[in-house]
Amino acid sequence: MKILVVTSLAMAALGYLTGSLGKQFRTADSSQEENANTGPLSRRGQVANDGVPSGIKSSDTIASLSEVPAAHLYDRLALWLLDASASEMQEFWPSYTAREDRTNDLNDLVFINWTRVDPEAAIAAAEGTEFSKYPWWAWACHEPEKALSEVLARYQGQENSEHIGEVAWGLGEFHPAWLRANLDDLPEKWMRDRALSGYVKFADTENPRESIEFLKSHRENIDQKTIAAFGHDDPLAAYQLALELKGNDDNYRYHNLPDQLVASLAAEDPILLNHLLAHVKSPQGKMKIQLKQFEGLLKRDPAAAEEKAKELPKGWAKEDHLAALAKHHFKDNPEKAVEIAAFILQENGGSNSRYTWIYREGGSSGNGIGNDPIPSLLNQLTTSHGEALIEKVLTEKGGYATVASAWAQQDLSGFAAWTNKQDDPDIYRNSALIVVSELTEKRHYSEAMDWAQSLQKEETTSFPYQTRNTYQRWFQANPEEARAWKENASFDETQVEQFNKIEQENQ
Amino acid sequence: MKTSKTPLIYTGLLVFAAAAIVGWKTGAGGAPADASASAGLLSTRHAGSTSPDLLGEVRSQRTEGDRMRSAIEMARTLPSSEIREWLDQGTFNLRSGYAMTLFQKIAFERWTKEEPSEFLVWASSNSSHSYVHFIADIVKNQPGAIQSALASLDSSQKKEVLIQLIAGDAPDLALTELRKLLSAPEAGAHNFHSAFSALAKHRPAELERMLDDVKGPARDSLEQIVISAKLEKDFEGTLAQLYEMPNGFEYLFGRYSYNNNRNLKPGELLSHLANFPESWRAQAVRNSSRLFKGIESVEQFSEVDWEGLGFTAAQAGKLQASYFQRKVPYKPVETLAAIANFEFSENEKRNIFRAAFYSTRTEEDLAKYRANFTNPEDRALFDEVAEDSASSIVNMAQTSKIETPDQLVSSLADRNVANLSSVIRNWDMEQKEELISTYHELEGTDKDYLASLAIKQNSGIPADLRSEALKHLLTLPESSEFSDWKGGQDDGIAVEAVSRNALDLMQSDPVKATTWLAELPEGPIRLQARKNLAVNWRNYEPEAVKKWLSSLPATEQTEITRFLKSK
Repeated sequence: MKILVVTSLAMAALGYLTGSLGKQFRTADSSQEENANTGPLSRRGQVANDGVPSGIKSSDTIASLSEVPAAHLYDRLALWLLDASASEMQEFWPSYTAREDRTNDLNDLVFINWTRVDPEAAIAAAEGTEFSKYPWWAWACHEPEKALSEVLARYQGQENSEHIGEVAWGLGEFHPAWLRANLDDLPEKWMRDRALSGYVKFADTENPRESIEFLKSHRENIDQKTIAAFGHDDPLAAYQLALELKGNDDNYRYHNLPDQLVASLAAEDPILLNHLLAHVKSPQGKMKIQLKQFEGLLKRDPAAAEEKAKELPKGWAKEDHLAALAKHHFKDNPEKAVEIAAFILQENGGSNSRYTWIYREGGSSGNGIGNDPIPSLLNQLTTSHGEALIEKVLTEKGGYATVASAWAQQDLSGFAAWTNKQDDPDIYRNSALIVVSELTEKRHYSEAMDWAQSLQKEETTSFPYQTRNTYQRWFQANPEEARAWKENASFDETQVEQFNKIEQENQ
Repeated sequence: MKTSKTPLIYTGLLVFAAAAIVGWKTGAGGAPADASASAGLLSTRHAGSTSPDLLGEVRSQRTEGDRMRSAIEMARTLPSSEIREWLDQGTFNLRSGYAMTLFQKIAFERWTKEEPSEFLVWASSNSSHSYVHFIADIVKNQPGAIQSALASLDSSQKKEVLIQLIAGDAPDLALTELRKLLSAPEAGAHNFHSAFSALAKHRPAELERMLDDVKGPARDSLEQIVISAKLEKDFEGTLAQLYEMPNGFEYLFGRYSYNNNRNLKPGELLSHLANFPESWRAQAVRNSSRLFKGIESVEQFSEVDWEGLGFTAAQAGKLQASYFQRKVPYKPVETLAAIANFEFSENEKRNIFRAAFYSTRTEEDLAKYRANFTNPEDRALFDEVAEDSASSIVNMAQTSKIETPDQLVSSLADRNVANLSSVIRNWDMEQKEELISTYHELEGTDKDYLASLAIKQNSGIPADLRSEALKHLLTLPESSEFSDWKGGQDDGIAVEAVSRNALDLMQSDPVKATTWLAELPEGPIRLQARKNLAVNWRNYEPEAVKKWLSSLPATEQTEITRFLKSK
């Protein structure tokens, strides 16, 4: 009796579900064999009248298709399959399985069409083979309620219940509107998860707002294209969503989402940026949008863009605009790019990194802010025009250390050669220190110590920091080599003692 | 058995059929699920398109088969100059059924053949293995498209991606283009690691010959790739060469190193340790996790004769302590039980015990570990360390049971919520909003306690709750048990927390930040937070900051302006 009750309840649940599904597929989803326009579902761009069916037909045969390599097969096979009858599918199948260049896309195509004309035959052909998952997934495209009720009846509770997952995936992939309304009716969590995986296989540019609400409520990732489509309809709401998803940068996937959305809106229709700018309140957001608009202006009218950049009040927005201007001129007029970079450094006190600072009594703490265009501009310029830029900043009095470090990192030999030419003892000393530090960083310890020694005589202390640091790093990396160098050089007793102390501390 | 089953199935089918009818009748299917999205925006969605309403044609077909046929026709006939826009913007947006997939795949394939240069430019920003055969086809049939794509790309990164994509099918062309790119001024700070890697299999000798001509970060990257390729080909011989190189250890173990990319087989390294130069052994001890790859258990570890492999007794001791410390969070019972069989200093044991608590969440775990000690001194030391960690273990155990806002509120009285961020990590928006409402309804010390929890961590705490909590805590009387959060005489923690919150608010809307600050009690904390807001906000909007300052009382205005001038 107990068995009877349990069985009846399970079947009742299945029956209710598939009955419910059947009705809803017919009412909420228009992609059935009925006319897509007669249902209540209205879609963008949908026309009111029946369309004239396309007249294109395949001239291929099973034999001719078997001669086409896989890289060129998809299009031709897709058309041939549309008119293949159930018996032709049966006939085609052995020739297809005999191919060695089958791909997942081609398998999908075959079963999507086979289940359209004869699902049972497709299932029978695939059963027990490497293709067994395809027909269940494909059947859910054409007859979702039937595929679901059949798969539940055949496999629920059985070892091979993976086919249920294939149908669930298909429900999400092929019937998004239904899934949004009925996800909770799928009886098991794992089925719901699979259906959601099918749903997110593609972006939803058809109903982005509904998809975004649905995916957010189920904590699924949202495709950037879906957000861009939403942005087209409602730029401000999409931008706010992008900011919300970006949050505190917890999710790397959404890290650049607001910027990507701005870029996507700019590419689609620059007017959308005006609308967005009028409403966005985030200072950083405004800055990014204005910069995107500026890049557009730079392409159309570089002279006007330059004027605009110069007129901005001192701040990061101005720096970003000028950096974009410098990059624009880099190829055709590098001297101008150098001049602009030097001006930026002069204005911002020679800084090449941005921080949020919190000051309090007796201290401060800073958090780095990314997306700063200045370091990349300096790296680009110092690789090819290091000397011009450093001479410029020396004249303009601002940014020497920043440019010197960038140049030393990009082109150490070029920077070292320039350093050797310097007559001003302060410039020589400061530059040589950067050379020592960079050589140490690159593990050229012996050369680094030579440079450090060249400074030694000018130091007030007998064992300056750079000597200590380099020797310590050297000793840690290669103690024999460091010791051998020390023993071959001539040092006074105090210095030897200092070297020995470093060795003891780093044993 | 057979006969008794049959009626059960019949009964089940009858119930199934009946319920299906009920389900059909009651299913919530009448509402037009997507009616809200019916606005006709397609014309603007593909602005600039010269195509007629092809998508409308597809939609208007009666059957899925007809829609698929129309989609194929559309993908075949859409002007190739428009394909990219359609694909990029998802303009073919018939999301139900299979027509969209057909359109996308056929149109994409056409595009790669008819607009190969445009496709390659696109591919340089959307690198994927899935279209590698399209690239092979272009290399074979339309090689001119590659130069044309490279010429139109405006960044070294994108050019590098394209070089990487063609490296397998056209290695000589890739090498030529990479050489050009390396000598171009815009090569800048790139290390070209991906392009070198892609070419390493096909043109290793040419890459090695390039070493003398390449400078900057690309030089280090190239040397790393060349060495990795050599290691792949002749591990033993190349390893012997690395012993002689100043950066040899890094090349085997560093960030982009052979070990990191190709993964040495477990235990493969052990057989070479005896040959390591002395400097390598010292570095290996400092980077010991590299050596432990493949040593899965304490038992296996004990089988390795570290001193026999050339390590000093002190180095072997460090390796042993390091191994136990790394292993104990993952295999606490086994690792702690083995402590007695090894020699450790008291300090090392303490560190191992502390590491065991990284993964300890319950008192039952503690009891299980304790039971394994055979040495009473070890047990006593373990108990001492455990006692230090006990309250946090109990709190973590309690905290992990809180799943809803109601449960959180009920547990406030016990004062043992370890971490509010972890409690609400998986809450949805509704639950977080419920928490905020509940916070407003709370009174007394429970509210104080929840406020103090809300300001301890940032991650996942709703901004509104944190703002309210800070405001509340600033108004607590000195006598409150929760008034000691400010951080000593200089109120450093409060200044940091209030300033940070103001800056977070400013990032979304500066008016929110200034309004919130205005609602806080007057005093040095608020003044300092206003200074911090001003100094950071002016980076973005200097004019807006001036305007805000002019709305503040004159004395405060003067003080903040003086502060801004000093920074």
